[in-house]
Amino acid sequence: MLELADVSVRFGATTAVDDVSLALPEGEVLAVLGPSGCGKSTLLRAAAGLEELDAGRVLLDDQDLAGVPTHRRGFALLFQDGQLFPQRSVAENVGYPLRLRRAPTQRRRERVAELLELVGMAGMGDRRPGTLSGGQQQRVALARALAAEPRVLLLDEPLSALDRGLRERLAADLRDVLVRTRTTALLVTHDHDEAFTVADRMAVMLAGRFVQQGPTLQVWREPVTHEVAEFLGYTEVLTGEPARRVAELAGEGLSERVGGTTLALRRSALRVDAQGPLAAQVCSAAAVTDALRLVVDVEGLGRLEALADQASRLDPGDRVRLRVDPAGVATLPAGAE
Amino acid sequence: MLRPAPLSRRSHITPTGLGLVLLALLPLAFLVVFFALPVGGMLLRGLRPEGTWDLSAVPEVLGRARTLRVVIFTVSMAGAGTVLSLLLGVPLAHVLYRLAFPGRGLVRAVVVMPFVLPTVVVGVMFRSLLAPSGLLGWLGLDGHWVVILAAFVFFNLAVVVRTVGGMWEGLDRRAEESAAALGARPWQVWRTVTLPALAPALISAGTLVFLFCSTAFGVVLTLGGLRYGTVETEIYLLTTQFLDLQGAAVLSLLQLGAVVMMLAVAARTRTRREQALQRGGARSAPRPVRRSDLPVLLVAGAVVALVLLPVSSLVVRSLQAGGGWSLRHYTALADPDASQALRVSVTTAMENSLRTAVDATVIAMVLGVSVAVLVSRRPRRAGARRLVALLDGAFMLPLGISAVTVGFGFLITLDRPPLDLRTSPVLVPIAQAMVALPLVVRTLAPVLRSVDPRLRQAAAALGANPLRAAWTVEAPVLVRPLLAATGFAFAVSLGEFGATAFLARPDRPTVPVVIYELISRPGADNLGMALAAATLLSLVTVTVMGLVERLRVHAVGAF
Repeated sequence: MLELADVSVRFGATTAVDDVSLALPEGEVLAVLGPSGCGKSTLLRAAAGLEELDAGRVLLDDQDLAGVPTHRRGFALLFQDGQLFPQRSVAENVGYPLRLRRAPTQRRRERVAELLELVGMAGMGDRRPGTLSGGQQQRVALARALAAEPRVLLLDEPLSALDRGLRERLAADLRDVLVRTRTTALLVTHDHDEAFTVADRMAVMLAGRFVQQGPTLQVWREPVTHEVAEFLGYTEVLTGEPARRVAELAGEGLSERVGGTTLALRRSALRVDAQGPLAAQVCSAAAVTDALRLVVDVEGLGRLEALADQASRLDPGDRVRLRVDPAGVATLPAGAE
Repeated sequence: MLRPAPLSRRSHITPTGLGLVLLALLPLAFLVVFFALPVGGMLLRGLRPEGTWDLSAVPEVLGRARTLRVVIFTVSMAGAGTVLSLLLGVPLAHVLYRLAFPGRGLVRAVVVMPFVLPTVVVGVMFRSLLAPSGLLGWLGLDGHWVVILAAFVFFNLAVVVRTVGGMWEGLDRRAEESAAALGARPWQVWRTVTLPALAPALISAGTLVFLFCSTAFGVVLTLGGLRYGTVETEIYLLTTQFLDLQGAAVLSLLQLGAVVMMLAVAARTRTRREQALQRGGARSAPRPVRRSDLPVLLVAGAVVALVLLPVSSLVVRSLQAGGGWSLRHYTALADPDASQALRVSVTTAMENSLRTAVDATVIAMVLGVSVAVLVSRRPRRAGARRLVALLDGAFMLPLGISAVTVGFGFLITLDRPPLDLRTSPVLVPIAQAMVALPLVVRTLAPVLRSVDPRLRQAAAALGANPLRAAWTVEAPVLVRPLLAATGFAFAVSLGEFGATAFLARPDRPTVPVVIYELISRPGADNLGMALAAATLLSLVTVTVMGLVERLRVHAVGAF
């Protein structure tokens, strides 16, 4: 189990990581989610022993790692851009940690083939990193990291440099590989979907501090502050009577859970539906790839965002009816600002 | 629960840190014993003649009319040399690094060649060209200061072309293209986009050219004789002819101050340039020649011709004797009794030269690799970072300090136990290594700095210890630069004159020393032999540099 206790890292006058604590049980994947510049990469580097701590401790199975250099920590590190050794072939890259441990050649060869198979790169062992695409390089980097049989795998925005479609596919594959190999992993990312797909638990980091930790779905559905909700993509916050009304319509016991005082809404919370209970007037409409984005004036709720079917034709001034999609609604604790 | 007291940033040295400190010890010791000590000893001898400080010499020496004349001459010559080198070097850099045409590699090698030509050889070349009997003898410039200036440009063009060209080559062409798309004419593109982007390289190259010009020794001594003196030759004259050590010490101090300042300027711009270079895109490939390139091509062609003129004049005249073609001067090289000026044959001197150059290269490489590894680290702590920067600067110093001061300092400080090396044959290679060391560091350090530190971190995270991680990541990129630096160090050692002139024993001279001996004596045969020896020496250094050039390591000769 990896534990960070009250860790702080400062660079001169700025505090990059401010009194952060976390516990990562074996076999679990934790995602630290935060906007760029929030200190999440520094946190990862501190765990790896690449940054010195100004305060706090890093513990692995209750053993303090202070003074243990990076190469003796047994944490493999996966960077955004792979950082494969350019002069070595794919197989040599993957076999590198095994070579360091003087694994016999035959065993090494088998293991490399196994790992390449695992990450979907079977038969590519003789290629040079320079001839691979970004996604392939990340797969090789992942295989290389797994070859080290790390006690904890540290992933620094592993998919951020990739195209969207590839990123989604690779995120699922990454999750699959981590689960199958029962790897304990700490992932930092600014991408919600990446965190959601890959991790079991999630910590939201803003301005050097952890503001919320918990199972991914729970963090997603119950952000603790307005700031967290905003970072997670909730664009509107409702309080009082409007909140109670939306909570009622969302059903699923949302209203009991918090007394329905404060709600955060994503754009997808309100959907155009001829049978919907809410009446609204369209203010503006813009088409995106898979939907029509609306700004609507809802009776009794005020001006909010909503989604319509892509095929529907709506113009400003049109009257529509809306239903509430509970998946787009989150509750905020009463009084959260 | 009690919160543990916040850890202060750990003050103990990590194993990696310890390793680097150990790595620093050898070069530092070398720098102290063979640089700081001799230079310091030389200065002390001048400023503390009787064991007590006597600074009265400072205003006295600085007040001399002769000193003023020498300083003014040095500064104005160096200034003019710098401006001319830049004006001629920039078009040449454009042609050689931005345009693609057949034979480009050859022309590049030709332009780089003068930088490694021994200073004495350059002196001999220009004299053979401009002497009354020479190809350009009708100009009546023999012994004129214009010749010294021409030699400065000849010599330093390579520095400008390599430094500016190296940066130019890596510039992303798209910035220029977007300026052009916004309606800028070619001249405006150059002035508003290209020139500012090249500024760090121009400043860096300019500073170093100024430095090299103002501390030039061999060229000025062979071309200026006693008529024109720079600070460097003045130190030489004061030391050896007038035995005025006080005067020499004061001038050395003056020079030291100026050199440190110039190196600081160069170092600052270099850091900026190395940062700028990292964003060099793939969109920077040279383009084919266009009709509009004609003016630049003409300038570049003229410059190349100017470089080749003294060289060919040297070769031609070394092959002429008694009014016809002859190999007489070459056959005389093997004859120990061919000249009154020499105790040994030139071929023996060549053997000495090669042997000391090999020794010097070994020393320079061992130290240079250590220093390059050291100065390419980027420690987190600000204090450690400053220390690295300081080290980087310290090992550049030998580049600018008067070789005469170092050479003479060797003689007066390393003359008693435990370091009684005055008569030891190791002094010459050590002095030569001192001169080559900064060039080795400058060749290797940028390569090491260009390696993404995260690669090392990735290796470390996979379980490689720091040494193994460095080996995995840095050794593969270092192979060719190492070979190139070795060749460069060898060529420079081979041609070193300033310090060697002091230290080489009369019965074991090197070729540059022999050439100087020969041209200091009257007689057509002495001059002819000097020309032949200079041709031979050039041939060796140019061959070595040609091999280096084939390795395509851009940092060679770029600063």
